[in-house]
Amino acid sequence: MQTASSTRKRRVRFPSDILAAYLADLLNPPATTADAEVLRPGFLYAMTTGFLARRYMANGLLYQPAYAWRMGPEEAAEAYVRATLERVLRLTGRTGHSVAHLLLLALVQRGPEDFWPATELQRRHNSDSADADGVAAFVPRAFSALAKALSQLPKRPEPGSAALKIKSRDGALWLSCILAPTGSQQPTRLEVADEISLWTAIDIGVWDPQASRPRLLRELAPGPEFNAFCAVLINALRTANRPVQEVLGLGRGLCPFDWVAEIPINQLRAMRKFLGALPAKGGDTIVAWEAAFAQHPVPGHATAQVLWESPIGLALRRVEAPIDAAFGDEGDDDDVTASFIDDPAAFDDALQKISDAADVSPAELRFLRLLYLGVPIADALDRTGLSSAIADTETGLADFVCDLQARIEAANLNLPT
Amino acid sequence: MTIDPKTLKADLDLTCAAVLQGALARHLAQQHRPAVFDFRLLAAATDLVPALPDQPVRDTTHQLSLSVQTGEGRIQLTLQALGFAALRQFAGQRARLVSDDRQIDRRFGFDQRGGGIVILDDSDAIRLALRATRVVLAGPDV
Repeated sequence: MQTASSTRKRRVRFPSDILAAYLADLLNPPATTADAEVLRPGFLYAMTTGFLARRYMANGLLYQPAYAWRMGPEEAAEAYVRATLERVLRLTGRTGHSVAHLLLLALVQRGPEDFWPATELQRRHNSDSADADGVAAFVPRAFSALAKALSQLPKRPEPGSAALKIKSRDGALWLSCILAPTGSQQPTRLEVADEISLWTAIDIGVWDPQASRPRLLRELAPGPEFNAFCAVLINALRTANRPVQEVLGLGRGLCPFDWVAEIPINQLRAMRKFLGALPAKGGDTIVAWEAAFAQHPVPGHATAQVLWESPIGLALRRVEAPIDAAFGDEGDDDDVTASFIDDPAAFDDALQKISDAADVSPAELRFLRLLYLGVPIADALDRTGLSSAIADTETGLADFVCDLQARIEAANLNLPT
Repeated sequence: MTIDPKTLKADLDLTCAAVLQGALARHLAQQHRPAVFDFRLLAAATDLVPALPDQPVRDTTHQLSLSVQTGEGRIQLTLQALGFAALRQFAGQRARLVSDDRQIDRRFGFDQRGGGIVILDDSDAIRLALRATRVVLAGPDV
């Protein structure tokens, strides 16, 4: 049996997953403790930065040599949240919404009133349906509170942005639901800003600014219901974290917090290829840069000379030797839109197909099935006999979980040909 | 129906990530519940912007007191641990003061005597936010 104690420690592909899962748990407080105690934006922020700072050295998400010398754990945690959760996610044109909208939708659908779960995201031109004001007399208070919060967001995308083109082509983005008590099946729609951050989605999803209190959210049951919500957060954080990863992936010791707001992600990706084409030694000469630029031009820079003299060019030249970035080989699968497998039988089937290639033991397969069904991790370890193989520390448990996830991620499916 | 291996693998990876990291996060959250101290400053129902208390107020667990001083466009909040047990809990700890709406968000530290100071700009928004604030202790590193 392979466990963390018997193998080299592997890294998961996306170190942001644990932060995403922590946020998912935070956003799902037990009904017995009252949402009011937890679902307050200030408290959520304190908990999020606190979690990151406490685990500063424990995983590869936050601690990086690129900036560890110049900021402490709390400061780095705040900078990280600014660069990821609070960064407005731009639309690219592939879809009419971002992962931040999907997170907002997932939170809105958890409202306790009957009409919330069927809420949908739609893009359409100004429609013949009622908007919130049009049926104001019948609108439940929880709905009008959400309408008020959404109305305070800027609706006009930036000039030249993909969002502006999408809006003029496909119409505005709406949250649409049917307020059954009105007696009408006509959907009521609320316009949503085209580009928002994950934090805005959380803020609007949990907080009623009119009443200065949390919106009521239905508690998700352990198992597939919670895990599906967790998957929404994981997808969202992977996207939000990508520019940070890309800067670190350049391997030149740049601090991502200095550059993520300055350099678009397509430029960062092109720079990675450009730098990869430089000779390993003596590569930082204008001649070498021109040769590499001819193979891999960097958008936004007309020539190698322009890139050489630009602020990012100067920063790149400061460190020639590659610096090991904790997660430098990611961000290449943007086109893969993954979905949570919400059918236990389908999950079992997919696990079976991966088990041989991933070197996952029968006990680990049982462990995964138990977690899928919502069994707490300590119970699942005991019931599968895995607890004895794991160091009895928090780090030991996290290492085991990451190792198992990394083995699955690295393996190929065994499909019949 | 034909299975697209790339899609199925991506779905499986995401599902395993949610299952494993979700379970781990729930476990970590139960192991590390940060100490939290709530202050509720009551305002008269007629006040649009609440007056700040001129006497120290206590948090809802009565382990911390909060005194407010104003002047020169600033609000100075002085926090003090109450009693020996609280002193041991707060002395030398890093903490964050946040309002529910996050209008106020300040990192600060308690000294060895269990005292801490936070200085804010004096504005209506800050005074309103002060009605519901919370001190969250940072807790030990992992």
